[in-house]
Amino acid sequence: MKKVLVVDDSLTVRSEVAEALKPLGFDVLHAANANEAFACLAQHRDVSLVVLDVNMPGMSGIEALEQMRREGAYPTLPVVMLTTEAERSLVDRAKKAGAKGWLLKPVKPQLISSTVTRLVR
Amino acid sequence: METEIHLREKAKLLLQRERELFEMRAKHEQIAVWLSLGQSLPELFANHDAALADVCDRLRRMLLAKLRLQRIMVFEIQPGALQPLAPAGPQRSCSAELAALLESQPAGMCNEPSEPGILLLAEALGLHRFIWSRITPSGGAPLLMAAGFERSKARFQAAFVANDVAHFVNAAQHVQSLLANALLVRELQQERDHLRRTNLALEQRDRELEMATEQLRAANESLERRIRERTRELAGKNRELHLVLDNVDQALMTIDLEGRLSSERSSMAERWFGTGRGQGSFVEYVAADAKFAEQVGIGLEFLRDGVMPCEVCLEHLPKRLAVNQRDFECRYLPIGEQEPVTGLLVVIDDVTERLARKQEELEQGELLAAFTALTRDRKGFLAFFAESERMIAELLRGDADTLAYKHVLHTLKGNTSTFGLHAVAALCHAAETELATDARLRTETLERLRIRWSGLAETLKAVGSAGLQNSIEVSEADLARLVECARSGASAKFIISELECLRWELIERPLRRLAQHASTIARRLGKGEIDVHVEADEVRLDPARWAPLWSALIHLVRNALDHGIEAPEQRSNAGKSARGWLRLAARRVDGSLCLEIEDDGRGIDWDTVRRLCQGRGLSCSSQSDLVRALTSPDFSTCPEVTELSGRGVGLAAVGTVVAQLGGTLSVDTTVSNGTRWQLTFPMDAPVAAAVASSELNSRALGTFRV
Repeated sequence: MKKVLVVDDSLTVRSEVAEALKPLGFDVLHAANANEAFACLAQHRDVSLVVLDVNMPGMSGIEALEQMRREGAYPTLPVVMLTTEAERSLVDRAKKAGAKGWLLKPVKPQLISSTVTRLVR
Repeated sequence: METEIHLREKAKLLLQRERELFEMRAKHEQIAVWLSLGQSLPELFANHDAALADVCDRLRRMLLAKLRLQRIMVFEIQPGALQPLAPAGPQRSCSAELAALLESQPAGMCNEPSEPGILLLAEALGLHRFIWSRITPSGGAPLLMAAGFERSKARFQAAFVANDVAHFVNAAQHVQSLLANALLVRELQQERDHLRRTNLALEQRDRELEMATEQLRAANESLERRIRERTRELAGKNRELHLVLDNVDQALMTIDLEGRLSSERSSMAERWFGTGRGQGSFVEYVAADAKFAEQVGIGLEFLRDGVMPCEVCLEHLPKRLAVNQRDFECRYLPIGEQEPVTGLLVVIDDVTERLARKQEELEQGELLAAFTALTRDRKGFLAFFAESERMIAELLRGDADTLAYKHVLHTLKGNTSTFGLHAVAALCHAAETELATDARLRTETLERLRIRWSGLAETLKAVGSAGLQNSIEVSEADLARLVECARSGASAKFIISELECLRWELIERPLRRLAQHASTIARRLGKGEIDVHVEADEVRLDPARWAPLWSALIHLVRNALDHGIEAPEQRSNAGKSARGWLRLAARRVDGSLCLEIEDDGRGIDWDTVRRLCQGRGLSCSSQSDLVRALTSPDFSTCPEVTELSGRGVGLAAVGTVVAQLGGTLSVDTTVSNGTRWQLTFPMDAPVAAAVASSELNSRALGTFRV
């Protein structure tokens, strides 16, 4: 089973993403913040894709993404950003750090499924 | 005698003369024969198709007939052999010497074969006395013609003379020429046939070419006809399309992935946004603001990248557009069936009316709710109204800090929501969100709130009876009781205090209001129908003093419903009844007023609280520590913020109010069983004197001065 890591400080959001992805046969891992996300990635070395919230307490999603790329441990791991509103500066910054996609909250299950399916392929 | 000699002489002369004549006649005959032969030869070759063997055969017969020779033969001279052409027969060999002889002496005669060469020839021919001649017809092997007698007959024949050979050779040469002629003619005929055939073939091709050209021309014509028809059809469709574009009540236009508009657009688009330039940018054309432009830019960039599915990219494009004081809703449809998409159809609807109507409905509903509350629970509503006015004034003064603003907005939102003033509640919610994301409030936001509130107040004041603030509800029973008191001779002091207490409402009232609100919230949160129990004794409270408490209690109720009580399904799974249970109780215990808000939900998870405490460096060893932590600002164990709660404001507001009223807050909770909040407030020495009336007794002193 392919693994997807969902990083968001809201349990509701994580549940909604998990609900959308489980029927497609993905194993969904949860993390509530950047630190938990890194821990999870280190523990499960075969994560196929990360859904990463932008607004989190502590390290923001974009910073977490940049760190992921910087430390060289996950240079090609596909990352999809999650946010209420896509802002030009954030989009550019995330793109430079190698984010593959942007999803808007509130998340629609259909859109999560199609994006994740396409990017994991 | 002389005559005899004379006669004899004459006879001799006569004989001589006769002999000469005979010889001449013979010669003459011969010449005639050769001449007639010469004249007849061409006939033989008249049929140009005849095979060589046939011709030779006929030649032989003719020669036989005319020349009175025993044998006539025609051979084809092949290397090493003589192949008889006429008469047919087996091959005779031709040695090298013979061949050489034939080469050196192409014609000649033989009367008696004596020379070795001639002997060979005689042998080969099988003749004794003969003439031969070799001819070389063009285009074929050399032929040998021979004529003569076999040995047995040769004696009886005169010898051949040179003339004979000459005649024979002539004839042979004649034959050679005729053969050559025939060959030539045959060749010419073949050529002619060949040409004729070629000509026929060419004519055939010509005809075919003509047919093909004709077909091509016909096809061309039909093609042109079809093109003309198609063009007419398209023009017709174009007109129909224009009809649609001109009459549809939406603005339709197409853009490419760079955001450039095409020139075709519906009339409505031109009416709303003008004609614009031909190939301008979409964003400029609709005169959108920077935010809209940014979102369009982002959405189109995602589409161009082609990494995310089309529908996900389209989500990023802005849906609302506000221009020229009108509101529009935008939809984007991909052009083309497959990805990658090459352009978008933009459909814009004018929703100004719809939005305005919605807002109107909201505001009318609000007004209706206000009036309903006013009639049903006048005192309560008025108290709330007054308090809200105070809170709004505080907001507008603008001198409070962010935290205070948060509390006020949150509480105001809760209160107005309780009474159904949803438009105001929505404005409070918007302000709360703005405060949370931007950390400050814009003046327009507050202004909108103020305008709505004062509008509401104006209407209410206009419609409500004069002196909204100044009337008091007294039930018949209370009035009767007081009259009875007075008649029974109660002291003036007592009656005055009782009268004054009438201003205060029974604690049951606000609790019932809370209960009503709780039911509504429960339904809205998807927790279904809940059982709310209100237990209150006859305490009356001074509304002015205690109003803040009721506002604060709403937060506790909200929390209980949002985070405490689970959804009916979850409750059933956990073995509880599907209906949630909530208890609102107020009683006096000794000298204190004791309020309890209790639910049978999932309880507070102390471990989470402890963890959060530790995270923030707050002490968390004792119960009171934990309560203090819970009521500290921004403290929330909830991972998400909903409209109702989770911002970490509610409990903090409760804490503040309880402290302000000199009370204490404690909580009793067990995971998955429920939570009970206890608020205890000290009260002044009570004790209204007991009154004689049995009614009074049964009511058990209900007033406390606080």
